[in-house]
Amino acid sequence: MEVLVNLSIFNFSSNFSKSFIFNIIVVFIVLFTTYTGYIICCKPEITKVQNQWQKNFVVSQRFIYRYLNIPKIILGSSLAARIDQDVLPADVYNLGFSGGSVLTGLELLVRSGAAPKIILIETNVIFNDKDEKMLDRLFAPLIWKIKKTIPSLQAEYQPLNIILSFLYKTGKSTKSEQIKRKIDQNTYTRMLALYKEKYSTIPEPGMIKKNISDLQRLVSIMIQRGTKVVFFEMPIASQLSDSKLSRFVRKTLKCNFNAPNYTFIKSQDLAQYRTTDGIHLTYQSMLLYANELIQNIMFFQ
Amino acid sequence: MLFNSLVFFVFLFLTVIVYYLPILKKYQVQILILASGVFYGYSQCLLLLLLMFSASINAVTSYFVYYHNKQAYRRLWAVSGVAANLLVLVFFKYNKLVGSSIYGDFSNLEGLGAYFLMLPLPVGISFYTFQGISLVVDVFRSSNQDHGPARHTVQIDRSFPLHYKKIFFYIVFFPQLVAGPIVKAYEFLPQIKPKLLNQIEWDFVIKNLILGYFLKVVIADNLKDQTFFIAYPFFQGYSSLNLMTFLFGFSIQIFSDFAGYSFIAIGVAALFGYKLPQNFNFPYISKSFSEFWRRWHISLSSWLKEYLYIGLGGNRKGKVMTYVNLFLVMFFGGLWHGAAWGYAVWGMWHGVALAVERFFSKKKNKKDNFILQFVKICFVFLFLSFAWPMFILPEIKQAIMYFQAISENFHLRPNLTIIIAIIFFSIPVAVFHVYYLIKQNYKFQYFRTLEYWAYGGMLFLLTISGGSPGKFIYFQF
Repeated sequence: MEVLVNLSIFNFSSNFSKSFIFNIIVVFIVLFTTYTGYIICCKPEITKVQNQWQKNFVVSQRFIYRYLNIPKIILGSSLAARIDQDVLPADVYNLGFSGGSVLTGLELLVRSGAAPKIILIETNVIFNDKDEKMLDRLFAPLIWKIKKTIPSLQAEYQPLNIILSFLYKTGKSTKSEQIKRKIDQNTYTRMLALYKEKYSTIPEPGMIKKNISDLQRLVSIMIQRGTKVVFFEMPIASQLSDSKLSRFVRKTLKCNFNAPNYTFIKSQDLAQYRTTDGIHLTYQSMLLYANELIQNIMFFQ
Repeated sequence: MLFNSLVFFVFLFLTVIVYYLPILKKYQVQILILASGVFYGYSQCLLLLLLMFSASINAVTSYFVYYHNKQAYRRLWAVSGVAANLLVLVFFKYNKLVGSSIYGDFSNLEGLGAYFLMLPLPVGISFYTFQGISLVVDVFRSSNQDHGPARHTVQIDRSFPLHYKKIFFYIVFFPQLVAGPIVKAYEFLPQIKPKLLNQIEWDFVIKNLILGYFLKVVIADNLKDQTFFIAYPFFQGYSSLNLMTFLFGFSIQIFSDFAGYSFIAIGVAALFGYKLPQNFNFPYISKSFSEFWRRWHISLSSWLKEYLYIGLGGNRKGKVMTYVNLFLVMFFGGLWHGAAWGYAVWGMWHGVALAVERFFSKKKNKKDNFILQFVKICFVFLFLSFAWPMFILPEIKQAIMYFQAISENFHLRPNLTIIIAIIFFSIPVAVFHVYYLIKQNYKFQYFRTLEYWAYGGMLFLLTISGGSPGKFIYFQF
C-alpha cells in the first residue's frame, strides 16, 4: 500500500500503550479540575459572548440554571434581544433570541416548567420556526443535569468568552461607546431595501397555520400555569411598520388571540426611535424603548 | 448519521462489540456491511437502494473485466463500468445543474421531469462513485498489461459471491462512505481478512479520534458561527477587514472540518483493523500550489491525477497539452465538489494558478531561505483564501459582490469580537502546522511529553469549548 496513514509528527506505536493513554487522561484531569476550580472560585463575569447563537444558548442556560423563578419574562426575536438585560429591573429576564423565534422562548418555558407571573411576547417575528436543535441540546437528558452541577461545562464559561469579557473590560469598551456609534447610511439603505422586499410578502399559509397553532398551544399552557400574557410590538422603521407583512401579523394575532386573557401594547410614538438597519434599534433607542416597556410592565403589576 | 452525534457513539460501541465477538469472527465483513447499511440508511433509507445498485454495478463489471478471455470485451466491460458510475453521478448530482442550464428556472416544471430534477442529493455519492471508477480502472489495468506491468495490481477472487461480498464491503465501509477518504481498491482489498481485538492499534485510534473531534467540534464548529456572515446579503454590512478575516477563518474552518472528518474516519476504521489513506498532510505549510494539492484532500487529488490527468495524457503530449490537462483536471475537480458553476470557477482559479506556476517554475537545487519560504507560504495561503467566495456563495454574481464589498467597505467599523474569535480558533491549527515544521527540522527530547499535553489539552477543550454541532461541509458533496 503506497499511501497509508502516517501522521509523521506523531509516531504511532503499533501496540496498546497504557502509559500514553494514561498520561493523556492525567493531563485532561489536571486541566479540567484546575479550570473548574477557577470558575467556581473566581466566578468570572461574562459580559461578552463569541456570537449570537452562543449568546442565545448562554441566555437560555442562565435562565434554566439560575433564573427559573423570575416573575417577568420578555420573549422575542433579535428585535427584542436588543433590549439589554442590564437596563432591565432585576425581576425581568429577556429571553429574546437573535435570529430566532418567540416560539423557541415559549417552548423553553414550557419544557423547563417555569411559571412566571407575566410573559411579554414580541409580535414582530412570529412566523419563524422554533430552534428545535438548540432546545434539544439544552435539555439533553443527563447532560442537562451535569452541566448544571459543573459550571465549567456551561457555554457561558468557554475560555474565549472569559478572554473577550476581560479584553472588553480592560479596553473600556463601554456602553457609552455604543451610544456614540454612528449608523452607516449606505448599509442602512441597503438593509432597509432588503427588509422592504421581505416585508412585502406574506409567508406560505402552511407555515403560518403551523406556527400560529404552535403559539396558541404554548400560550395556553402558560395561561394554565397562571401566567398573564402580554403582546408587544417592537418599534421598527415606519416603512416596514406599515408594510403588508406587519399589517398581516397584527390582523392574524387579533383574530387568534382575541380573548380577555391577552393584552396588546403598542408604542405610541414610533418617530422617536431609530434603527441600525430598519428593524433593530440603535443603542440609544433601545434605552428609550426599554424605559417605555418597563413602565408598561409596572402598569400590569 | 453524524460522527458528532450521540447516536453514532452508541452505534459504534455496539458495532465494535459485535464485530469482535469470537463466535461471530467468521462474519466480520457481513457485520460491517450491515452496520454500514444502518449508518447510511439512518438518514436516507431509500437511497440505500442506490448505494446497493452502485456497489453491484462495480462488483459485476470488475469481475468481467478481470475474467473475460477477450481483450476487447474486457475493455467494453471497463468502459461500461465507468460509464455506469458516471451516469449515476450525473443523474443524481448534476440533475439540477443540467436542468437549470436547459430550462432556466425549473421550479414550475411538472411531471416526471420535475420529479427527477427534484431528487435529493444522495450523501456521499461523489465519494463512492469515484471509488467504483478506481476499482474498474485498476482491475482493467491489472488485467491488461500490454503496455508493461500495471502500477497497482488488483486481485479478483475467482468465486463471484466472494468477490461480490468484498467489493460490496469496499464500497459501503461506513467510516469512509460519506466523505472519504477516497480509498482505492488496491489499498483496501488486501486488508480484508479476519481481525482480532488485540491487534487494534489503540494509540493510533485514540490520537486520530481526539485530533479529529477536536478539529471538528472545537475549531470548525466554532468558526462556522463566525464565518456565517460570508453568506449573501450579510457580508454587505461588514468592514473590509472583517470580510478578509472571514476568508482566512473559512480556510481554517474548512480544513478543520474536513481534516477532522478524515481523522475520525481513519480512527474509526482502525478500530475495525483497517487503514485508510492519509487525506491531509499539513496543507497550509505549502510553498506552492502544486505542493498544496499534494497535501490537501490527498485522496481526491491523487485520484484525479491517476485516473484523469494521466488518462488525458498528463505531461506526455507536449507543453500546451500539459497546461490544458492541468486546467481541465482542476475544472472537473472543482465541479466534483458541487453542481454549481461557482465550484467550476473555483477549480479553474486553482487550474490557472497551477498552470502559471508550472510555466514560471525552474528546476533548481538551491533551497529557499527561511524568509522566502515564509513569504511563499503566506502567499499561497492568501491566494487560497481569496478563492473561497466562489466555493461558498451559490452564485458567481454574489462572489463578485463579495470582492466589491472588500474594496468598498474600508470605512465601516470592524467587528473586533469576530476577528478575535477567528484568531483564537485559528491558533491551534497554526500551532499544529508549525509543530510539524519544527519536528521535521529539529530533534527535541521533549516531543513525547508535549504530545501528552497536546492531546490532553485537546480533550479538555473538547469538553469545555465545543461549538454548536454542525454538519460536515463535505457531506453535501
